[in-house]
Parts: sequence; C-alpha cells; structure tokens
Amino acid sequence: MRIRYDDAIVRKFIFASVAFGIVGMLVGAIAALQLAFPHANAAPYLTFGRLRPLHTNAVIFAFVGNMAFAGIYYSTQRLLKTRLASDTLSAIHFWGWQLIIVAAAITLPLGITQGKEYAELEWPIDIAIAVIWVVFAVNFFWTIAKRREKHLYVAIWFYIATILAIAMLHIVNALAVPVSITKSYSVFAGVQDALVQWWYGHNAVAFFLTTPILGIMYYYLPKAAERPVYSYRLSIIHFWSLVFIYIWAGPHHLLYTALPDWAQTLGMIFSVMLWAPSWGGMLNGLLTLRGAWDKLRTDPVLKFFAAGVTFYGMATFEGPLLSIKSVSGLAHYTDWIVAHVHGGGLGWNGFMAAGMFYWLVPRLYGTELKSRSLANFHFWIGTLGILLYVGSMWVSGITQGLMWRAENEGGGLLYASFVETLQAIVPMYWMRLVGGSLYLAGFVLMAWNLIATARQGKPVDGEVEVPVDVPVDRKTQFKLLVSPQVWLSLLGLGLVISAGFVGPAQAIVLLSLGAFVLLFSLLLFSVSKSSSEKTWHAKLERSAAPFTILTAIAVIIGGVAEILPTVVAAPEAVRATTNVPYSPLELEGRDVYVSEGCYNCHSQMIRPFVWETARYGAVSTPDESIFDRPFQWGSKRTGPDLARVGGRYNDVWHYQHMLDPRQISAGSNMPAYPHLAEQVIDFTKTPDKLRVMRSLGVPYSPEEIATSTEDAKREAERIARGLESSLGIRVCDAPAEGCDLMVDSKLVALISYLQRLGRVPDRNAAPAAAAEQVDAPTAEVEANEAAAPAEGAEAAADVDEGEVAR
Amino acid sequence: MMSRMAESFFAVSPMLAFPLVAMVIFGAVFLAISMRTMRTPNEVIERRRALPLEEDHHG
Ligand code: HEC
Repeated sequence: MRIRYDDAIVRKFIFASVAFGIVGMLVGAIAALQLAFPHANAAPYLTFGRLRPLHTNAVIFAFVGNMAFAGIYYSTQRLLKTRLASDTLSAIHFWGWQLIIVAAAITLPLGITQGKEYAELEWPIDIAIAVIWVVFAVNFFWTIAKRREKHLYVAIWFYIATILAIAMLHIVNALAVPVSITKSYSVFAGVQDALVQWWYGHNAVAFFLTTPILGIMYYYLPKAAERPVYSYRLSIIHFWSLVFIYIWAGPHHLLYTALPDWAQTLGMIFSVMLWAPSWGGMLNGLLTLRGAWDKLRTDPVLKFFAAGVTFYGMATFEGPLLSIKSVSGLAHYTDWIVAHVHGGGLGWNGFMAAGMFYWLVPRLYGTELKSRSLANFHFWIGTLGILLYVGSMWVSGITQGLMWRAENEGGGLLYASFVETLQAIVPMYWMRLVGGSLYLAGFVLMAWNLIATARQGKPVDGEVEVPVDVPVDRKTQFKLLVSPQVWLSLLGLGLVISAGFVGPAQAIVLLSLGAFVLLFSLLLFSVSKSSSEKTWHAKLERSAAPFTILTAIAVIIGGVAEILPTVVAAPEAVRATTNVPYSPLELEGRDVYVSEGCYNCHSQMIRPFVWETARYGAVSTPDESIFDRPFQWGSKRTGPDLARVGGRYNDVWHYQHMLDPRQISAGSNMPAYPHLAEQVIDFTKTPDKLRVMRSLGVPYSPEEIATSTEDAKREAERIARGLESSLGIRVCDAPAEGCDLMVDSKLVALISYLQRLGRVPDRNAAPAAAAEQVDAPTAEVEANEAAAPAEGAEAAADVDEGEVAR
Repeated sequence: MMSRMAESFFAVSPMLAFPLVAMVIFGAVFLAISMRTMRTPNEVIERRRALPLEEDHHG
C-alpha cells in the first residue's frame, strides 16, 4: 500500500517561518538602532520598551516556532511511516498559530502586555495559544497512535518533551485574573512571580528553542550527512539527562536577588550539571559528520548544521559559566547576557533553521537549490554577523559590568554617573547593529533563494510503500477516548486552569490537586496491562506511553519542588508584611510602567554588593515586591536600577526627564515620552483593578475600593497642580488648545508610582505631609526608610486578618 | 555526625527536602535508563539508528 505524506503543511510552515523571521529580525535591528541612536524611537507605540517584546516574541514564537513545526511535521511522518493524523487539525494548527502572531504584532505595540518576559501576551491570546497547542498535541499523539513503525526514533522523544513541557510552562506562568479584555493581574506576586516567570523563561529556552531543534538535529543531520547518528546510545542518555536537569535551572536568572538562597543554589548546581548532557549532544552531532568533512566544503546544508551545532556547544558552555554566582555578579543585567542569547539564537536556532530550509525546500518542490553559491555566501556573512554581534556585546557587557563596580581611591564609585558607563559602550551598540544587519541580509538572500527554488519546481508530496494498512477500529477508538485515563487528564487540566480564577490559598490546593490527578492519570496510562486487548497502550506500543509519562514526571517534579515551597509560604508572607499596597494612583502608574515596557531597560532589584548599594541604596527585600503583580525586577540594566528611585528627585525632575531625557541627562538613550502627558487614564475603571487585586489577597478594604476613583483623581490633581506652580506649565482637566499636561494623564500617575518606589508611605499621614515627602531630598529618604518598617507594621496591623487570608 | 549534618542542612529550610527527593528520583531514573540503554541489544539500537535514513519517494 502506498501512502502520501502531508507535505503541503510543511511548505506552509517553512514560508511562514522565513517571513516572520525577517520581520522579527528587522524589529530587532530597529531596537538595536534605538539603543545607539535614541531619536529612532519614532512613534509612541514603537518605543524600545514596546518593540523589544515584539522582537523577542516574533523570533521565538513566530520564526523558531514555525520552523520547528515544519521540521517536526516533515520528520514525524517519515519516522512513523504515516500521514499526519488529521489534515483539519494541521490546518487549524497552522492558521491558528499565524493568527496568534498577528494578534501579538498588534497588541504589543499598543502596550497591551502582562509585563513578563517572553510571556507578554495578554490573557485572551494566552488562551488561544493553549488551545492551538492542544490541537498540535492531539494531532501529534494521534499520529503516533496510528504509526506503522514500532520504534520511536530519538527525535520523536524530543518532540514529545517539547509538547508536554511547553503546555505546562505556558499554562502555569500565564495564570492571571482578568480586569478587562486587555488587562489582567498575575496570580503570583513578587518573589513567587519571579520564580515562576524564570522557571518558565528558562524552560522556554530549553523546550522551545532547544529540545525541538535537537530532535531536528537528530533527524536532518544524519539525512544531510547520509550516515546514521554517531552514537544512538549516547542520544538516549542525552535526552533523559537533558530533560531531567533543564527544568531546575531557572533560578540562575535570579542569583543574588531576593529569592531564597536555597533556590538560588539549586539553580546554580543544576545549571552547571547541564553542561554534561549539552556537550554530549553537541559531540554526538559533530561526530556524526566524521568522514563527511570533505562534503562540508561544498554543501551549504552541512556547513550550517556543523556551525549551528558548534554554536550550541558554545552557548551551552557559556550558560553554566554564567550560572556560577560570582560570574553572574558581573554579567547579570549587562550585555554579556545579550551576547549569550544571540550566540544561541543566531548561531544555533538561526543556522539550524537555514540548514533545514536549504535541505527541505528543494525536496519539497522536486528540484535543486536555485543557487548553492548564494547559500554559501549566506553562510559566510551570517557567521561574520554573529561574530560581530556576539563579540561587541561581550566587550560591551564586560566593560559596563566592570565600570559599575569600579572603585575610586576613597572606596566610592569611580563612575558615579550611570550615563558615563552607557557612553562607554555606545560604539559597541553600533557594531552590534552592523553584525545584526549582516545576519539579516543573509536571511533575505536565503528567502530569495528559497522562493526561486520553489518557483523553478512544483510542490511534490513524499510517498512511501508500506506493507499493509493497519485497520482502524472505530469502536475501540471511541473507547479510548472515554477511558478513565483521558477523563482524569482532563479533570487534572481543568483543576490547574481553574486555579487561575480563585484566591491564592485555593489556587495552591487546586494546583497541587491538579498536579496529583495528572500524575495519577499518567501512571494509569503506564501501568494498566493490555497485551490482549486493543487499547491505548497496544496502539501506542511499548515505548510511546512510558516515554511520555516519564518525560512528564521529569518536567513536573522540577517545577513542583521548586515553585510549591514559595507559593505555600505566600499567604503567610502577606500576613506578616510591613509593606502597604499601592495607592490607586500609584497602581495606575505602575500599570503604565508595565505597559510602556520600562522593565526592558530598568531593573528593580538591588543586589547585595557594595558597589550596588552605593549606587542605588539598600539591598532589595522580598517584602518590597510582595504586592507586585507582575513583579518588575527586570533582567537588563540599559538604564539604572529604579528600586529606590522614589524621593531621589522631585516631581519636576521626573516631568522634565520623561518629556525629554537628554535635556536632563545628556547622553541618555532613554526614549522620550511626551505623549504620556496627553494620554489620559479612565479612573472610573480603577475600582475594578483594586477589586481584582483584593481577590488575589492584596489587603484593600471595601471602602478603599469604593473611593479609589476620587482618591486617584485627588492625588493626580495635587501632583499636577504642584507641577503647574513650579514650572508655570498649563495643566488642563479636559483636552484644550495649548495644554502641557492633563491632570488625569498617564504621566502624572507614572510620576506618582516612581516616587513610591522603595518607600513605604504612612497612609494615615495628612495629605500636606505627604506632599512634602514627595519632594524630599535624598537625605530624608534614608530617614524615611529607617522609619518605614514601624509605620508599615502599624498599617498592616490595622488590616483585618480575615481579609488578608483570602 | 550524620544527624548533625542533616540538622544544619535542614535548618536553612525544611523545604530542602523537595530538591533532595527530586535528586534521588533523578538519580534512580538516570541509572535505570542508562542500564537499560546499555543492555539494549545491538540490533535494536542499529535498527533505530537507521530510521531517518530510510528513503521515501518524492512525487
Ligand atoms: C532604552 C532604555 C530605556 C527605557 C525603555 C526606559 N529608560 Fe529610563 N533610563 C534609561 C537610561 C539610560 C537612564 C539613565 C540616563 C537618564 O537619566 O536618562 C534612565 C533613567 C531613568 C530614570 C532616572 C533614574 C536615576 O536614578 O537617575 C527614571 C526615573 C527612568 N529612567 C524611568 C523610566 C520609565 C518610567 C520608563 C518607562 C516609561 C523608562 N525609564 C524607560 C533608559 C531607559
């Protein structure tokens, strides 16, 4: 019997990947330009803070995502000797994913964001992602179920791990309570939110950018080299150790932060351990090429693969190094990390994609590659581009890291001005732009080459001769669908999802219950013996089910063991806090901060180093971000840390700085935000925000919620009138000609938030006293800080216990 | 001696039991997989290893 593969879907995903790859890299190049030349922040919705998430989401989910789907669908059909289970599901998968990308491209520039890196998309899009991912999973596992090849090749395991892990990571990290269709608050706050986010963030690298590409490596590299993988046994061990260890490494993004020490140490140890499986995989890939080295000279496909795997080796050597606490102390928040991710992103992901496309497209169109020499040229300018990019960011990162910590003879900061440390690296920013542009140019050449190849051929679908057709029994299929395992899995999933809609205490119970039910149903999948009847296991055959289960256990354990402890401790921490929730206006200002993506340039986490406390103030504590949903610790300091900026400057300074940063700090590359003075906030929606916060356990009283609109307005009026009298600017209540500032503008709310950072206000103080406080010079802030815990404790004691426990 | 070590270890946080248990599970699974892999007969390994190289026909 002859079967025909669905290669049309592969062609679609390839061209989607190429197109979005170019768009995503172009946005990256614009963002790079903005850092070197801030006037390139041309429009309010195209400032660096909004473009950078667009860049990361586009290259990760649109470029690599579509590439991985293409590679997975092509190789899975061939490795399992069957057509994809459902053409309809494949089509839904393709079009659904592209719609999600379009939704991202619209909402991110509009500032609709959850403010968590690589997970910025708001809740309706998050739900769509979950749905499409399930469609992908069903299509994939269904294909496994109807396969005609008993053995599951190692590439398939990597795909299984990808599907399971991403589902879990995405759902848990995206848990949020909606305020409106475009706004939600994370169910996690502060430290827990940081831990969950970086458990997700790191494993997005692991299970979105690494495991699918490793599966692709194990299929396409032997194909292109025309020889089997060097050691199949090594590949098995590579798989298991990678999947088990990776899931733990997340906290290496949070070294020296307010995260508990034990979690930091754990993250560091597992990250260092990760070096072994990563290099096992790299060596396995490179050694597969032994004896084929001569082909490397002429064949662009092998060139890209060999270089891609080498860059993987480089990035996975650097990663564990950066996870060592003392190295992290220097490198964190600097461009060194940017160098690291682009070594992996451009070198590993980009080159593996290029190699795969150059190999696939001629085959999918029954022709030869249009131009081999152009592909080779692409390889060389791509490599040069990466070297320039990574080299300049290394220099930039280490330079700035060393300047931040440099001491003068008296023991003070040698470079007290932050802008000085920025000016030192601007030449590197230009060099990076050159490197990135070269790489992008190579990609455009590839696009032309692939299109020309497709044009000269015509679409052909692969076919294969299989001995007999396996008859499909409809009845057993139905039985399979209603088996207890399936129901239990659905129940578990439901429990996990519903945890997003209740208070934290119930959420913990629901989450652990859901995890338990899921684990139990997975166990059922594995233990029930079924040699005689046709059931899931008979269909899925020996290996598929146990592999899936073990993989799931591997990824669940790491997550539960790391995250659960802080989640369990959260309600107690809220009860014991000396902190006070944000005032309505501060909360609105914080949402502006999140929406503008200030976290892409500013951290809010002062680490326990002398040079850091000298520059930014006392070390940050977990208590300070206890009401922060999402947390805004940041991961990169293009600008200074803002954790204690409150009170360092007066409102007038902030007003002028936000309108034109370079007028206040010559040489700054911060975007100008004059539009924030005109854009207004609808304070009638503020009570909804407070209500959601309260449902999440933030101790707002019903009275506070009821009066929050007037409260916010009154506070905004005070700040705006203060600016009016100091600066003689025209302040308006309603839009009018010649207005400089709207009272209910985003800028006023933002200033109110910035002035709050690092300070715990005394809620009972008279408004006049509060006004004085805001304009306080630095010296008074310290006194204020020292007094804060006592005041805060009183405030916390005032709150009804029952409310806090919710 | 051992109990004193355990005491000071858990003094940091009782939560340290979690990663410990997980480490044990990891070790056990890793050992089991490695042994199973090493003991898998060569034919099976070779058969799987050759899977990507089986040709399909285009068109
Ligand atoms: C492109 C990166 C970038 C973005 C995006 C950015 N900033 Fe900045 N920011 C800087 C740099 C660089 C400085 C230091 C030079 C200066 O004072 O302008 C700075 C300084 C500041 C300061 C003064 C800090 C101090 O201690 O002197 C504040 C406050 C500030 N930014 C707030 C914001 C807010 C609020 C946003 C979002 C609306 C934002 N920034 C977005 C780069 C950025």
